[in-house]
Amino acid sequence: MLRKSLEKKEKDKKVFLDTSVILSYVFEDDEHHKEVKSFLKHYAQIYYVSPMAVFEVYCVVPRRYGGVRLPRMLHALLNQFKTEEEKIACISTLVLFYLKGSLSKVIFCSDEQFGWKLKDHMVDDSKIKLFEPYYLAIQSGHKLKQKAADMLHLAYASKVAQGAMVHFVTCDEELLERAEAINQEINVEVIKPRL
Amino acid sequence: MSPATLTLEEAPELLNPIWRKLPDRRTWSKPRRHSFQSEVEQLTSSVQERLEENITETVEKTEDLVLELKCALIKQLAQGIFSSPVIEVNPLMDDLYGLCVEVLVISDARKTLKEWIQLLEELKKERIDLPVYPRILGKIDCTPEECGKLLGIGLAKLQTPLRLGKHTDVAEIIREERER
Repeated sequence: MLRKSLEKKEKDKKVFLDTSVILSYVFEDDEHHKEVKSFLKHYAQIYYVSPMAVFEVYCVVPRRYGGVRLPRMLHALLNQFKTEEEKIACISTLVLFYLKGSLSKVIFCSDEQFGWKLKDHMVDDSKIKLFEPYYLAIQSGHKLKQKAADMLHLAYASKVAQGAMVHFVTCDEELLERAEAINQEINVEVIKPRL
Repeated sequence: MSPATLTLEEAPELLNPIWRKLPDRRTWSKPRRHSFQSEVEQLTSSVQERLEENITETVEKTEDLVLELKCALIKQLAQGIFSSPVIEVNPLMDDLYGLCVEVLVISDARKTLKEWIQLLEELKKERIDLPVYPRILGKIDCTPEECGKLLGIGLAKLQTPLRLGKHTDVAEIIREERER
């Protein structure tokens, strides 16, 4: 009985990928690439990527990964784009398609698909309407004292999971150090990819 | 005196002059064995060296032959899949990605990349594990996003992650970006 319930829990777990894990998996020169690759090949059947992580990939790649080198013949193709912006747009898209194509199953969560409601939040005398992850981030932010982007990533994971066990995979030591507090507050288990 | 008439008593006497001419057994037996050993060692090592050279040469020749055969097979498959002419199929060494095979196609980007993905599927079925990339001799007729999508699908099929050519630590990068 216990075994079955544990198996079900394990099967139902939702594994979210932090931006750090996505980029480390896609770029071979990264410090954590080997352990991330080995971990993602075996840890779960389905991986979830929040809209926040997609947004962050499109912000970080142009700023930090502009010097990417494709195999010679493909790089010649990339060089046919006239502007640097076009080249980098190509690479940012490539990163997410590589992730999706090389892992067993990746689900890119959409804000729309979960039917999130807008929640009221009081600001001064008026109310503003926020999507649920933002609302949760506001509710839990003062307890967890996370940085804004970290808090939003965790809130997305927590909301998308809808009660299921959530693992949030990251290479970020700062988040890993706060793993216990995060788990207690919003029920998200922050874990490190390991070989 | 014929050997048939030689008696046991006579034999030592007959052999004595020969024994006397030989050096003392205690002194010559050891050095002789030693020199023989060193000759054997020299011979063994030279045979081993020659063998290793031969094996390396044979392995290299076999590898070249296998590569040539694989390229021929890739060309055959490529000609069947690409709707435009396949000019050449060449193996080459990329300084970051290592050994790979380029397929020169006179065609525009969108169609070529789509057909490249089909070719990769065929190569997987044929168990050809070489990374094959197209060199597109036509013009680029797709958006950067479309191009990124097709390249991402193809590289994922080859399980070839991207290279920057320099070491990075993404945890540090993301931390810096989030702290800005």
